[in-house]
Amino acid sequence: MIKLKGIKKIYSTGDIQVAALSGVDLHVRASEFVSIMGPSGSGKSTMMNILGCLDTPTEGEYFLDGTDVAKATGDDLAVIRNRKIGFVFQGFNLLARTTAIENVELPMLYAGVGSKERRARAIVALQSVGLGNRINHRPKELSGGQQQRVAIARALVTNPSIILADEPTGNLDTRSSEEVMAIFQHLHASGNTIIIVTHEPDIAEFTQRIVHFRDGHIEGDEIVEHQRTAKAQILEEGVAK
Amino acid sequence: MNFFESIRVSLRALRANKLRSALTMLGMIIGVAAVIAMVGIGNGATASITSQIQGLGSNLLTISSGQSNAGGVKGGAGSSNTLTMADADKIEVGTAIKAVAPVSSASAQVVAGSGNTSTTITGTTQDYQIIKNVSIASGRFITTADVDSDARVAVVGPTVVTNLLGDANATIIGKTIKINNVPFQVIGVTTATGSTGFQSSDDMITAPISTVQERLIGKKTVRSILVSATSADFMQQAQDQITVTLEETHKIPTGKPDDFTVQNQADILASMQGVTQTLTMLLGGIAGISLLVGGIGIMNIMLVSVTERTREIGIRKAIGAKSMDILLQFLIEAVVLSVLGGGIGIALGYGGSSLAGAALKMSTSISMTSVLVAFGFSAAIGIVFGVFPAKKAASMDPIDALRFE
Repeated sequence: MIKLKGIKKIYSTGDIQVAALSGVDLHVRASEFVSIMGPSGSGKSTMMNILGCLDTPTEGEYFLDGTDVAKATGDDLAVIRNRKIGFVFQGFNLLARTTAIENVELPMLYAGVGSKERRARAIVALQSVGLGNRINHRPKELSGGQQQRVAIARALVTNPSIILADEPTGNLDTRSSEEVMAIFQHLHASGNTIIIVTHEPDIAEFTQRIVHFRDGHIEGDEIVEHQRTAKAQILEEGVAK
Repeated sequence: MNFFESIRVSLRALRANKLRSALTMLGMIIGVAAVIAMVGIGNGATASITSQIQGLGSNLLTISSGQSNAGGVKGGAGSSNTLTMADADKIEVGTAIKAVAPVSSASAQVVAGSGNTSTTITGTTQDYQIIKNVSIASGRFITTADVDSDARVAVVGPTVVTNLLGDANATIIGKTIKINNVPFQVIGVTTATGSTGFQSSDDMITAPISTVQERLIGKKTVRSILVSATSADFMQQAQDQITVTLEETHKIPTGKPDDFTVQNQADILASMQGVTQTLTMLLGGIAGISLLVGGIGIMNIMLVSVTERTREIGIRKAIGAKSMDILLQFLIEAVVLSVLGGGIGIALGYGGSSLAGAALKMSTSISMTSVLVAFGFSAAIGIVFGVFPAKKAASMDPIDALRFE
């Protein structure tokens, strides 16, 4: 599914060159649930940008679904992001003046999906995160946890190859965090590949595998022995029907 | 994303900021309205001047005597009396020429009872009525019979009636007035034309040319000959016919200067229209500058909007918007602002010029061309001034845009 070989990312500021990533090899199989951990400055955000095709590596190969995307540029990257990747951000990043359903429809708008199908799929996605009764609310009218769930619905609505979440619980309280993680576990159970960047160990314990970053390279790669199961009221109501 | 969806996204963004969108449009509205109104008023002025000049007589040619040449000192046109009644008779009415009227005029003191006034006495023939579009309010105009019989009859203008009798509506027909002590019988009154000033057709007495020559001037001279062409298309042909006829009658050898001049009313008209059209362009140009300022206003707001919505651009790009999608979104916003502003401006300009026309008591005309040009121009301004901000938005790096606070 995801294969990284010798990925390097070097930023040049004048004469000074800073290596954010210095040769990373990583293999993530389909339907894995991985968390990337590391202190700030470890290169995990750069890793996230490259995995999400927001940025390209200076050196190395990145195979996503069998195609090398390391050399893609501009609009080609936009198409890859649109078709293969679903983003969930720490700050939710929903369009403020737009309703929940319109936010979820947005990636399909750029994929050229017709308006009727768009709406139907957006409703299904919102129902699957337990927000079937909030589709016409604007982000302002939703709690932080609900906003993040809208963002997750937006990420999964295109059936992407991977869902990338950058500190998805960073702005949430414990209860909302657990709700969000419960949704991720549910999505994982139904076959989605999910990669989460986090610096909270207890959040990482909800995943199957933890990759540790330090100073631009992978320091450790471990399987979570005692995976925690997130429980959430909302899922029992919203999805289990 | 298809074009229709882009328009929807853009419209939503404009609706989200109604006040700002309206104020941005105001610049375009004022600019377009100014252009439309100014050009409308200018066209109205041109039309009004044209009709005034044409009102002096339709398709008029004026033949004047040539210059006097006394010992090498040349006088102005008409300073020598070379035209005669015979010249007027020689110019034949035909395909090109509709009517010919010789004119001799004199200034004279006119007395009627206790009133008196000083005015111009125009001696002419029956055709003068056709050439000058003289309209008779009561009585009749002079006839060929009057000219042939040297009849002492006169047609007076309404201003003359007022000056003599103190009231424009007083009955004067049938009464005798004395012009330089020669009694004339009034046979008609002309309709007021509203023209004022020098040689006003309202302040004038018209009499048979033979009578005027004999009784008031004392010489058989003709001051000028007025000729009316059958239509504007025949002006040149009529002018050529007159020149050939008079050169023959006056026995002027080829290559020698003519002792008469033919003035074409169309020339006067053309130069007057030239003046008003220049004025229209000037007004339109000044208004066009405000249109330009309106366009810069749009660019300014769009730039602010792009910066303000950096994060939105980042989100859209992260979830798959191509550069072209973003470019179109912002470009359409700019074009919608300018075209909508242009549309409202056209309506306002139309209303404004009608209002100005009513206030200035002249007809204004909005040409379809100026509407189309203004509309096309505002759309073009939207594109020209929208491209720069839209390109700025489209070229943003999604990572930087997402980090933007």
